[in-house]
Amino acid sequence: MAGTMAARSRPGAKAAVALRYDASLPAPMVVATAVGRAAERAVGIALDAGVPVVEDGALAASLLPLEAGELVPREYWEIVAKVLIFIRGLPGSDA
Amino acid sequence: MKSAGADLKSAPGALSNSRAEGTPGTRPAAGAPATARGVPARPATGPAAASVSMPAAASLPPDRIPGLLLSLGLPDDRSSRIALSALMGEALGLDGERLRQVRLAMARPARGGAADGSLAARLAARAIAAGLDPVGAAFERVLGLCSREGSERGDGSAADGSEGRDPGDGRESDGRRDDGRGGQEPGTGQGSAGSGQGRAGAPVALEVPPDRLVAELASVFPAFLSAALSDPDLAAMARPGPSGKGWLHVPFSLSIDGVAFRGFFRILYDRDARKAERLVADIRSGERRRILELEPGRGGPRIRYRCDDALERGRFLGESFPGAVSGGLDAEATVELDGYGGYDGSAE
Repeated sequence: MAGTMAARSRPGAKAAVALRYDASLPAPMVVATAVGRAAERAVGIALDAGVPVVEDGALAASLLPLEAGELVPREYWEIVAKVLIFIRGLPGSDA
Repeated sequence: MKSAGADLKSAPGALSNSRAEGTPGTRPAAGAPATARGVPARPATGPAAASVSMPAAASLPPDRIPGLLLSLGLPDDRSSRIALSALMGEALGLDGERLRQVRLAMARPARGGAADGSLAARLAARAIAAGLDPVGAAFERVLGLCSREGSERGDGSAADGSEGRDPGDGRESDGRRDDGRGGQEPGTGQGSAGSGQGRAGAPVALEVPPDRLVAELASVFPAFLSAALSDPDLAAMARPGPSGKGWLHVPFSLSIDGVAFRGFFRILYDRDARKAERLVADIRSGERRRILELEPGRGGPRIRYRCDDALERGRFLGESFPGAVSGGLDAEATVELDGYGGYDGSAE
């Protein structure tokens, strides 16, 4: 038996997470994720196939894997880089 | 906010209750077992001789701390204050049993990276918030990865304690030397963090022209983050707590022109916004430790820099970091109690 949950995980972006579970599995598995139009297609396919669909943005967001690129602004990484370069330039930091 | 567990149960056949305990964003009920890597966990809460539950506190006036600790049956010492700060950093309720669990984690021998056990305290509180055993397998491994020994080798195992220059000196480089690339391509070398599939904290060596160094480094850090997100223990320990927020720990190890850096990032993220709210870099180089903290501010990130060298703090404030403040390391372990005070200098 499988379920698909779909919702807007953030404004303007629809997300879908497909789960599979049966008694032989120790826990439900995330078998597919999709965002945008792919998410809308996935939800349509699930509905056509009679798979339960739950609309819950927070749940979909919690099941979607975090992506490194969207989590931390590049500006932060650039500041970290500048600080490491600052430390490298300190007396005694040249190994 | 509705709990994910409740929603999952409302979807017939979608998920079982057993999954809800391990689902990101959910916590088991008090006393219910949680698991990490299949290891049975002890209940997050349990009977206590003296336990006073308090709601998660946004702030705690300093003059209330001694009385609070006394009422919870705990001594008003530095360990208790670090434990208190760690729980507050997770927006967890302050009760005696949780504080004792965190103190127990701090007391484990030769653990934590920081001499005062603040890393162990924060990880124990993080484990509690994530619904895991505060001193379980995930806690132990992440502690090893983030502490000096673990980040030396990137696998949590014991290291030889070597200091200074990266002995690998590029042998585990991902090919990010001065090849003129934009730094966006995934690495190909063994041990690379650039692929995003490497070991968490696996070392990277950089030798690039100075004018490209910032951009190159800024491209390397997300690869460490990707590696951490792919690590089951780091991911489990990053599960959001009751507040919907979680701290992700990201070990890193790199060298810049032969100068070795190691340590870890602590990244507070909001599950629903999927954005980092705070980034704390715990940076080791040689025997020296620095803490860099970034969070959103008006006009750009707020920058806080901590180290024990007053002269270095002065140099830092002289750099081009608008609005930065600096202070000693001592106050960092109890930063949640101090209201992010304790800074002795400002670039403004």
